Amino acid sequence: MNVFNRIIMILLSLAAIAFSIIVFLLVGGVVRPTQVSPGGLLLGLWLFFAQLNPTNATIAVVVCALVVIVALILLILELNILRREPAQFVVRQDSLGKVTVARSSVRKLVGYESAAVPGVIETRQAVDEGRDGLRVHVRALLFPEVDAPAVGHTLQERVQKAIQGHIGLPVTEVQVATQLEPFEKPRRRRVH
Amino acid sequence: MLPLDARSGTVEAQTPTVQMVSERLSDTDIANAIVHAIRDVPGVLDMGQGLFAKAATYGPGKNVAGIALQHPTPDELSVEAHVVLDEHFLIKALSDVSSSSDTTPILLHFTDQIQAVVSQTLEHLGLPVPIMVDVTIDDIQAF
Repeated sequence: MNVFNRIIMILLSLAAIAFSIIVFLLVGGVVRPTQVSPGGLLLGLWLFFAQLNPTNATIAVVVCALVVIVALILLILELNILRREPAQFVVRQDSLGKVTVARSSVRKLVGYESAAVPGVIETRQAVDEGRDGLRVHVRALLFPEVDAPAVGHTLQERVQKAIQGHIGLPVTEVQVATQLEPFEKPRRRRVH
Repeated sequence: MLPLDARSGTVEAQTPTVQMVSERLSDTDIANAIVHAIRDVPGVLDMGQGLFAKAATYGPGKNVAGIALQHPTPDELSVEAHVVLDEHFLIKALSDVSSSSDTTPILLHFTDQIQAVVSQTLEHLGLPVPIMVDVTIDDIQAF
C-alpha cells in the first residue's frame, strides 16, 4: 500500500469516527440534527438517526461503537506505518544535487562485508537511522570452531568501516549477535 | 534561433534554453538519451523504478522508467535518476578500493559519474546544464 492509499485510509477512519460520534450524540439527544447539518448537509440522515425507536437506537449505538473500534485500530496501524524509518538515506546534498541510497542497498553492502569476514557462514542484518548516524544490527552464523567474540569484533569494525568508507554515511552503533544454529528459512506454502 | 539586433544590425548568438530545445525534443526523448548514457556507466546494471512511487518521465503513450525530469521554470531543468548497481562490479570495486589511498566513498564515485554523464548528455542535446541532478541508488543486484 503506498503513501496515497495510507492517507486515504487515515481520512476514512477519521470520517468513520466523526460519523459515529455524531450518531451517539443524536441518539442520546445531546444535539439536534440541525446543529450538525451546516447548510442542511446530511440533514435527512441525521433526522433518521434522531428519530430511531429505543431498540433500533441501541443497535445503531452498538454498530457505531464497533465502527469506532475498527477505525481506531486502522488509524493506529496506519500512523505507526507512516512513522516507520525512511526507506532511503541521504548520502550527500550539495549544489549538484542530492545523492540517496536505499536502505536495502546499505543492508546488502553490510551483507557483502560481513560475508567476507573469515569464520562467517551467513548473516542477517538490519539498518536503522539514529540521531547522529546509522545503527546496524548484524546476526552472524559462524563456523563452530571459530572464536566468536573475536569474529564479532572484526565484524563490528569491518561493517562500520565499510559503511563510512564505501557509502559515506556515519555509523554510531554496530551490534553483532553471533550464533551457531542455522537461520530459519522462510516457510513455503505447499501447493497441492 | 538567432535574433537580429536592431541597433547594430548584427546577429547575436543566443544560448539555447530548455524551452527552445523542448520545441524539438520532448521530455521522453531527453529522458531516453539520459537512460542510454547512464546504462553505459560502469557498474550500473539497470535503471531503478523509484522507492515510493514509480520514477519515470511520462509522454503520450509511453514512459521512460528511472528518470524523472522537472522544469522548475521554463528555462530550467532538473533531473532525478534512479539506478540499480551491479553487485559483482560493486564487490570488485570494494576489494580494489581497500588497497587504494583514495578516501572518496566508492558509492560517490558511481554517483559522481552518473551526475557528470547526465550533464554531458544534456549538453550534447544542446540543453543548458541542469540545475540539479539527484541520484538514488535504488538497489544492488546480481546480473
